[in-house]
Amino acid sequence: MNEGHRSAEPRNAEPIRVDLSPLRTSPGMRALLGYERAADIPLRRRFFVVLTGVLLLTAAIVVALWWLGTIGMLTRVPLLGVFGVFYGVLGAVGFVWYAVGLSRRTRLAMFAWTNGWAYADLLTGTRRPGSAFARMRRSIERGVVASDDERIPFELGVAHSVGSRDQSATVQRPFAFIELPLPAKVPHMVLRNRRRSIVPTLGLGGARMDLEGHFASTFQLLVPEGYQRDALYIFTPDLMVRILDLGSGAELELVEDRAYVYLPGSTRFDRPDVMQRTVQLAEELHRRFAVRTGAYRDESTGPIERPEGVAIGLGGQRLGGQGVSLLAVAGVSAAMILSAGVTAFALFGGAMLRSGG
Amino acid sequence: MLPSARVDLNDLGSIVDWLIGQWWVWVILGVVVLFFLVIWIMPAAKVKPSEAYSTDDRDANEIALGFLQIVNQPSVPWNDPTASALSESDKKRLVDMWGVATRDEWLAGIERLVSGRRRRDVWVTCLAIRAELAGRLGRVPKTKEWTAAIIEAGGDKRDARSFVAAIEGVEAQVRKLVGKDIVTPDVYVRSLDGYALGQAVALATWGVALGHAEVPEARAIIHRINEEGRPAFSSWADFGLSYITGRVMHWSDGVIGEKTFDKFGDGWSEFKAAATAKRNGPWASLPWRIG
Repeated sequence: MNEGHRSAEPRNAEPIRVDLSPLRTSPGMRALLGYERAADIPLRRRFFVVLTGVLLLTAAIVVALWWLGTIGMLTRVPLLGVFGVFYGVLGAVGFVWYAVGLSRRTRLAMFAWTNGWAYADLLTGTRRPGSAFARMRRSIERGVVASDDERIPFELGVAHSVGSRDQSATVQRPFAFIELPLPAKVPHMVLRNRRRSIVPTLGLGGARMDLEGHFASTFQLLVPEGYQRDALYIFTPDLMVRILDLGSGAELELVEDRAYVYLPGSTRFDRPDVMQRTVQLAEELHRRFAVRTGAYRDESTGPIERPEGVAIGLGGQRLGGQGVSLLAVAGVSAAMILSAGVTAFALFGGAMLRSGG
Repeated sequence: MLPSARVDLNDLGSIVDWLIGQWWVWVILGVVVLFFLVIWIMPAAKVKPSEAYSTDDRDANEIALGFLQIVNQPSVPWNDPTASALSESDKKRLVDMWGVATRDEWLAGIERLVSGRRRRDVWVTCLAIRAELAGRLGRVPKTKEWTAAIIEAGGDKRDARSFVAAIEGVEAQVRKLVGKDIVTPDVYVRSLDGYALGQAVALATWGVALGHAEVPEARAIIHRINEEGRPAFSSWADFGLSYITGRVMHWSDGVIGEKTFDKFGDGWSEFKAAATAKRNGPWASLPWRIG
């Protein structure tokens, strides 16, 4: 089944047709195995290898429990049985979690390939300029769909912060993203969601602009000092209405020649309705930004702040400073309070208990 | 020799006396000393070019721009435009790493490096500010002067400090390891383009090995890279410093930790070899300016 929508631009008279049918059916085992081969998934992460591992673990637990029962250890230490059952259940739940994720990504891949778009199961080191990406020391992106159709160029996926052997992961919740190329470089701007922010804006420099009307309760606009008028030219009320349509957790960032729509990590791009909304939004934003940013020129700066080949003056290229995650601040504060409490109890706890009775 | 029974483990002097009396201790010590002596005395390895191609004409000079990338990962003779020493596994790795399975992808990869040059506007602007300041002062700007100039141009104070510290830190490491006689005090980082340009030259030669082009086409591409890229630099040392700093900054995203230089700045030894006449380094004999 083909579903399409028509672009308003006369030059884009040909409708963009997006086939959503692969998202409407569950992939069978054959499709799943075919996806694993086509996406070049490493052997250790393939369905039957993981399944074999889980079955072996379960068998090992059952044998161990049986053996412990025969030697009478289970009756003496019943906690061993609890441990065995716990790890067995953990393995089963983990496998179901993995299989559901694999099935969803298979659907997404089928959708991408059906529509002639590129797909990657896992990407690392993409170096996207968006603030949410740049602050993560190491990140991976799952289920990345990329369209190079000039009428609707976009990339989407879900980004996760991961640790390495040397370094722990940056505190950053997983988030879904849609990346759109812009026709020209623009000043750095973040349309921050007041209710659920993905881009860590605490500590970021620049001017904080409160918007008018009902947008003020949802969004706050962060722009470099001196670029407030440019921001109001780009972020029109109808644009913000479209962002609101995406749901309460959406945020928007313009940086260099890229626009990013950030969504909660739980966003299900494999659902037909979500994908249809996403594709429509990508097409619409691409069209609007082409009009609003295509002719953008930073006239406010001289050759020192903006050397040859650089479109935006130094002050407008990036909101200064590194954004701090509220989650990280809360985590560190909680750890410090807990540590202080433990220390205080270790020093004075005995006396307190004695005085208490 | 003291029998082991007489060694008092609570007395360090007694343990040392006992060790001095053991023949095998002297053997181990001798081997270690000999090892370091041999390493110290042994001359550093010379740069080996391919005998099938020239090392002193214009073609050699142009391909020498890619020296640091060509001799590193995977290593092949620097003057061979066909990269014929690449093994099949090397070629497969290059195709995977660079996404150049087809001729179009290979050409697009070179174009991306030559036109985009892995540039980040903030870094380009801060380095341009340094160059402009150096031109005005007639010397390399000091840390405080450069940082103040960035802030004056609208840059964030904290970001400016960390960027200046990162560039000056890498610069100092390269100068120390390669030698002050090569990276002289008047040579400083003004651009990070060297890394992308060096990679573009190497990618052009790898394309011949992968069957995407013949030697004349690769030579023409390398000629274009030189025409467009070389004027921004003043010497081989200037270019080499830009390459190493660009590599470190690109892969670390400008976040320089204790191990960052060890991880990404390892090309300094090839830089030293390239610029040393005794080691047949091409940068020591070939002129920077091509007529």
